[in-house]
Parts: sequence; structure tokens; C-alpha cells
Amino acid sequence: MTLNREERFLAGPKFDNRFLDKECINEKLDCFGDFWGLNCEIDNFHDRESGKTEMVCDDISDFWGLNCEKGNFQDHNDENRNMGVDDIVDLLPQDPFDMDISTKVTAFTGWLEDFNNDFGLNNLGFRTDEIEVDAQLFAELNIVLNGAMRIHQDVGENSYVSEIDIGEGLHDSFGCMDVEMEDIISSSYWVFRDAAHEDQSGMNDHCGAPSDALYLALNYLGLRDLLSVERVCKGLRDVVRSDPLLWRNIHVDHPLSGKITDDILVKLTDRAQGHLQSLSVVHCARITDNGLNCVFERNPNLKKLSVPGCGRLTADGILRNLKILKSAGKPRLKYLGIDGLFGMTHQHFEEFKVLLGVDSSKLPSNRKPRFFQGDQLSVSSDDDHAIDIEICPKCQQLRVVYDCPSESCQKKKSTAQLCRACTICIKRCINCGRCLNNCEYEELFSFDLLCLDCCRQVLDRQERQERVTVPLENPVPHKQTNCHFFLCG
Amino acid sequence: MSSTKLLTLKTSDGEEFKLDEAVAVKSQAIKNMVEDDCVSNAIPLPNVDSKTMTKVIEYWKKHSEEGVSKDQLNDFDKGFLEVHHSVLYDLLLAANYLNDKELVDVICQEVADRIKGKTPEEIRKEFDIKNDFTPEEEEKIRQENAWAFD
Repeated sequence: MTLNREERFLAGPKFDNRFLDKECINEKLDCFGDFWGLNCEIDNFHDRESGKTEMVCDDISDFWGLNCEKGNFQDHNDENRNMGVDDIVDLLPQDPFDMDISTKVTAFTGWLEDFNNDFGLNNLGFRTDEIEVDAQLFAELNIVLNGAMRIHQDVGENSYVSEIDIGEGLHDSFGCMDVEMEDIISSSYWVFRDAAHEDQSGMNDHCGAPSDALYLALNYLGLRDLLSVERVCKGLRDVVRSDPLLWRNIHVDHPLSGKITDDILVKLTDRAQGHLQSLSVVHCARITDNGLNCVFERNPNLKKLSVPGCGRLTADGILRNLKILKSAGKPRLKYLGIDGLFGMTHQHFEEFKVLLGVDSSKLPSNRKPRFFQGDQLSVSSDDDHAIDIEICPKCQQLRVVYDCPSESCQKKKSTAQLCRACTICIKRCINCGRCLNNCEYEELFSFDLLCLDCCRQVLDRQERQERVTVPLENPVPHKQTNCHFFLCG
Repeated sequence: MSSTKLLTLKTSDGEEFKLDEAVAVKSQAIKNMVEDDCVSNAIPLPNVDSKTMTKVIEYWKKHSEEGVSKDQLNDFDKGFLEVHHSVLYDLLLAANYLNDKELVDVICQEVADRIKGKTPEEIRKEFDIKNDFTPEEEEKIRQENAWAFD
């Protein structure tokens, strides 16, 4: 290997600070200097190739361990390789599978050169020159890449195979590997770290890999939180991206509603790998018929679709998609939420009912009552209604129709007297859903209405708090959950 | 006289717990063993240690008590789950192993609540997770998800 002392240019594989804590680098810890069994200080130097500043050993002539014994490499792993983190790899033998390590070096050298050309080797954390590298060094290459490998054992109903991650350039965001790479990696040369057999508490010293238990909880997160979790560490990123069970039910609402586009929607629904069961996009102004068409094509087993308030979706577009599904023999849709859909006519509505197999003869009273609560645009799809809208008995328009929870209204038998209508025909309390026809109510800043009973609850709590959080009897998923409450009227 | 049988559960560290069958069958796994009549001896639980089992039994007993109001149960759950995340992990893995869906649900919800609304860095701090991304990887994934956070 060659070296150039003047320029402090280190030939041979250079490890960047990928596996070093930032503290180590900043403090110029001599742990790195001892990495190769040397006692030398770390000095920053400017790599003329990349313009990056890297850590090298001052005493370059000793870099390759001329002063260290064979096998020292492993002795220093503990203190050097993953600073502050015990690595189970340290405890493993050098050649556990009796492989002929030296012959693998040639394969790896060629492989690394390809990477340098195709993917950018800095993504892997090291670069090579066209020089012969010490075989001992390459024999330990597994340790560098091992840090990125995980095996996830079966946990409950989630079972998935390890995703090999050795740099973004090697695979796309959904874990597809280059074939050549797979051939090499499938070799037992690689050391696997079994996450489930690590410290079950999920902590190694102070920081470590997340426990498998954490993955169980991912199903309880909304979309935005899932995307945050994706950025925490590699293990979580791989699971969030590759586990289709996390993406079977996708709900997009505020604050993502105005930001999600067709491309992003298709990318997210693709994570379900064809097993998307329910999709709810509420008030998403940038979603178009084309985007939804893509989702339909790739997820023919979709059971629930809810698109209230999506201004660029049309009744014609959705009808077309459903007809294509039906002609392909896959009319699996059980629920359709289309309140506020552009271009909706009574004829469209009848066709939707036919496509969903809605029995027009079934009286509304046979179904579970639907009460108004909170944001009317996120109507629950859990009741018996196959379509969220119906013809309002009072105005004959296609809207979401609510029943009344108040006892006096529920006693009414005659259809004409039934307290069933859209919220434009019958105003309702945002908290309890009762009609406000014959009782006093207050109007909030958000133009929502509260009956007097619910008002009193608010005032009682306001006495205890300086700032009112709308203390609803049934907490509702409303955008404005904090407001200053003033009586008006 | 109550005809409730006492079951013996043996944890990974050799400790034995005696428990009413009516309480123990909150675990679907134990319930299956009871129905298959495999419980003459102690039921081995190699994946659960005694410390975690103690907590699980505490939960089961409280949720089997009579005359406990919903509010009281909620308060109990809240206190029960105010533990370090490592304890939560152990509890969750034990509940999953024992197949107690209600307990799994409650703990998962607590873990999810500790994640909700947090930035990636805050999540790392909360759960002591190491950031093993390179700066380039981190930047790439930040850009890919930037649409959701700007």
C-alpha cells in the first residue's frame, strides 16, 4: 500500500466516522488510534478526492498494524468499532464456518470496485483504492457491514425476514436487492445479529437497537407517526417500509390532507403489497382520479374506501374504477364514503348502490342509528351503511343523514316526524349529536354548535382551568381542540 | 366452596406462581393448555421471567376483581403502565407470548402514546435507540418524508 505523508492521504480502505460517536471524533479520542494497536493521535485531514474531512492516524507508517500482533484487531473492537455500544460480534470467532477467507478477498475486491463505480462506496462507509489490501482486514469486513444487518424473529403474527441494508445505493426503498449482491450476501460469511436474543429490554448500555416489542406497537400508530418512526433507525425504517401488515389500513387526514399527492399516495399504498383493505383520504385536495385509479389497480381486494371532501375526485371517476373492478370479478368493496364528491347525481348514487349490492328495500330504521359527532367528514364506516350518503328525507339532497340520540326524538314512530336529516336541515350539537330545533344552543368560534347541557359541562370545567380545552363528553377528533370559550347570543 | 382450581406457573428463572385458574385463563395460551388438560404439573413459561410474571399477575388480579369501577381500572392501568420502557417491553413480550390480547392492546397503546407526536430524535431519546444512519442516509430519508412535516 502506498501512502503520502505530506498530504496525509491514507491509502487502502478508509473508514469514515459511520461507526464512531460524534463525541469520539470531536474529542480526538485515541480509541481510534488504538484501533490498529497503535498509540497515535487522531488528526483531521482533508481528502482531496471528496473534499471531506476524515480521521486518520498520524503515524501512517504504522497504520497497518506493524506494531500490533495478529489478532489485535478483534481485541480493539470493543473500544473502537461501535463507540459506547457492546457488539455481540466481538464475542464471535474469526472464521466460525471454516470458510477459506482468503479466496473470498478476490471476490470482495471486485465487488467493491463495482460498488465504487455503480453506487458510490461512501454509502457503505468505506472506499478502496486499486491496491491489494491486507487479507486480515477484509476478513473482518463482515463486522463493518454486520452493523447494518438485522434479523427479526417471528413476533406474534408479524414475521419477516431480515432486510439487508448496506447502503442506500444498493436497493430501492422497498428492499429489492441486486442479484449479484444477494449471491454474495447469502454466503454464511456474514455474521448475523439476532435482535430477539439481545438484551430483551432493548437496551445495550445506554443506547441500542429497538426491542422487538416496539415493532408490535407500530400497528397502533397513525400515518404521520409511522413516517416519524421510519426516520429513527435502520431497523425501524426497514420494518415500516417492508411490513405490509402496517399498511393494510391507511387513514390520511389533517395535517397530511393538504400535502399528500397522487405519487405519495400510490407509494404508501404500495407498501401494503396488494393487501390494502381500507383507505380513507379525508379532505385531500391534491388526490385525483388517476391516483385513485392506480391504487385500485394495485389493490383489487380493497374493502373500504372513504374519500369525503376530496375536491378533485369525481363521481364518474370512482364509478369507472368500481365498474372495472366488478368486470374483473373483484367487487369486494363493502363501504364507500363519498360525501362531498364532485358531480354526484342521483343516477350516480343508484349505480353505486348496485355496485355495492345495497338492498334498496331495506328501511333506514333497520340499520344501526348514526349520530352526529365532531368532524362530520370522517363518518365512521363501522355501522351498517354501505354508502355514507343517502337522500335526505327533508331536502332530498344526497348528504350524510343523522339520527337523533335524544329520548324524545327516539320515541317518534311516524316516518314524517322522525328526527332524521342532514345537518343543514336539522342543526345538531357537535358533542352529543342531539337536534337543536327546540332547545337553546351556543355557537363556537368554529361555527360548531353546542346544546346548553354540553355548554354547562364546559363552563364547569372552565372554572377549574384557565384555558379551556373543549371538554366534550365524548372527545371528538376535531381540528380545534383548544379554544377560548365565550358565551354569545 | 369455590371450585376454582389453582394452577402453578413456572417462569424462566425457576420461580413458581400459584394462581386461580379463573384468573390465569386470561392468557389464551394457558387457557388452551387447561382445555387440553396439560396442567397437572407446573406450566412452564420459559419466555417469561419472575419479575415480569409478577406484574402480569398483578394486572390479571386487578382486572378480575369484582366491584371495581371502570374509572378505578383506568387509574390502575395508568399507574401500572408508568414504567420504564424496558419494563414495558418485557411486559409486552410476555403478554404476547401468553396471548393475552387485552393486555397486549393496553401496552401497545401506551407505547404508541409515547411515540405519538414526537420527532425522530425525541423518539430515540424516549426509547434509548441509537441513530445508526449515516448523515447521507438520514438526509435522504428526511427528504423522502419531508412532504409530511414541512
